[in-house]
Amino acid sequence: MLGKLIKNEFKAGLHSVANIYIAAFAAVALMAVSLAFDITWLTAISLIAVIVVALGILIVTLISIVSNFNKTLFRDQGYLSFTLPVTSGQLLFSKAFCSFCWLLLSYASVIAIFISIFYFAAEQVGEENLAMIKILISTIAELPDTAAIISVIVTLVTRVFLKIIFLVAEIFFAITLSNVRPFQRQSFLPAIIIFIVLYGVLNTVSTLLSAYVPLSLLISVQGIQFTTQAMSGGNMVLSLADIIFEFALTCLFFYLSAWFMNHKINLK
Amino acid sequence: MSKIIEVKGLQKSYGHHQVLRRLDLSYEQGQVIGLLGPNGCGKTSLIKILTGLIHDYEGTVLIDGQAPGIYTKSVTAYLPERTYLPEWMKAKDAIDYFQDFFADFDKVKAMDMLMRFRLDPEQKIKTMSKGMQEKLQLLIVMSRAAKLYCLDEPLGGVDPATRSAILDVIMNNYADKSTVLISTHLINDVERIFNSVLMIGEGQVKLNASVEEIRESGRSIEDIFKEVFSFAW
Repeated sequence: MLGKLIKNEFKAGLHSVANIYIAAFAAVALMAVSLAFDITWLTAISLIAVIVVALGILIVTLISIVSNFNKTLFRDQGYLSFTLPVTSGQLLFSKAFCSFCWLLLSYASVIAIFISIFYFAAEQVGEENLAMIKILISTIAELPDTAAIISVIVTLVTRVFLKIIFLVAEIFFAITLSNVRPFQRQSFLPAIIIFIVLYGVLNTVSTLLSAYVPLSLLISVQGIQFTTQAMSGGNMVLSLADIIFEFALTCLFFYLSAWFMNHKINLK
Repeated sequence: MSKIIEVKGLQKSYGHHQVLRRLDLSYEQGQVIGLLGPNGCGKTSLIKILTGLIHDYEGTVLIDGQAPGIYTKSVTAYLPERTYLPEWMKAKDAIDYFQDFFADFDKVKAMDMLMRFRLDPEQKIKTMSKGMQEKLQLLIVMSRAAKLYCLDEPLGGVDPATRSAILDVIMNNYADKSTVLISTHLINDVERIFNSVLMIGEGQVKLNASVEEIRESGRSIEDIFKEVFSFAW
């Protein structure tokens, strides 16, 4: 059943974000054409379009995640979702997994777009892209241990993944809590307030933990080592305290969301 | 025969407003039950509890011997009083969706009914009229071979001709030995199809009798309804 939920969740998500990705593709294609034929005015317009669309990808993805979660569970479609022979945990997992994938795709797309803009800008000032790539490759090749580099990359990617799933958990919990009886009548406002408060408070706590709790990973080209030094600007130190904090909260938010769905939420 | 619905001491409140007060019910398989009562009497709340949509109630509720959960949802077909299909879906997507999740769903039967209702499988739900959406929902729900069908106001807001067509769809398509619970206040149109009548008012059971018993008393269901709910007007 989980596989079927995920399949249908992706289909629903695709309908929400497809247009913005088509727009992004069109803008990038326009920029490529303008560069290929050296049409200056078109290059300027397409560059602006690409930047706007890149930001649009992030915004549309976030709105689609919020709207899809709220609509399919707590509005009319909830009558279908909650009468399927699946658990609330399965419903939540499928939505969280798909939201994570869409967010990841949106970040990756925006990064790819901005890298392409960077190369475009570099070309405008006359720098050789190929030369830049060669410098980058030679820099990596000179590093002493490939395994160490891979482990650094894996650690940083894991950190980014956790940040994304933490954001998803916060969004889901805020929306779920706003559908519990005392808040249910006030439309979408409680969800926004709960999310802003959660986001503000928890990110502050997370930052403080990373700065003051001496439990970190020291990242260097020799690899990754545990260290008792707190995160600071001078060292490549990745705090573990805030990672543990965010991981625990992510689990708690998903658990509480499922609990509220099972015990406290009556569909309007 | 085994009990398909067993409810003991069921109570449900919304804040200080109690909609169901110590309800006791029990039904065996193979019946068409009319759930009757004035607006706000708790019909929809009772159906939502039976279908597993409301959890914060007191008392015992068993569907086919089990508390509402995954199993009961797999044997209960639910038609709510609103349209619950995602707007981005086409009619055929909605049919595929039900086939994905319900083992008792008959896709051939659903496609056949789709054609008989003259609905286009390629048409998006977003572009359908409310009537078309209701027909699509009904045919999807009735394409299941469920043990219990809970139909919440399936006749609300439709013209008499459509009402008759809807009743035909229900009566011709529910699975053998299944139980159909129909909530309505359009008694005239539906009293011919009921085996039993459950009248709820002020959160309590006002009448729970077979249609035979009612007929033996020499009165119609509508007469009894008016008598029982005279307090509501």
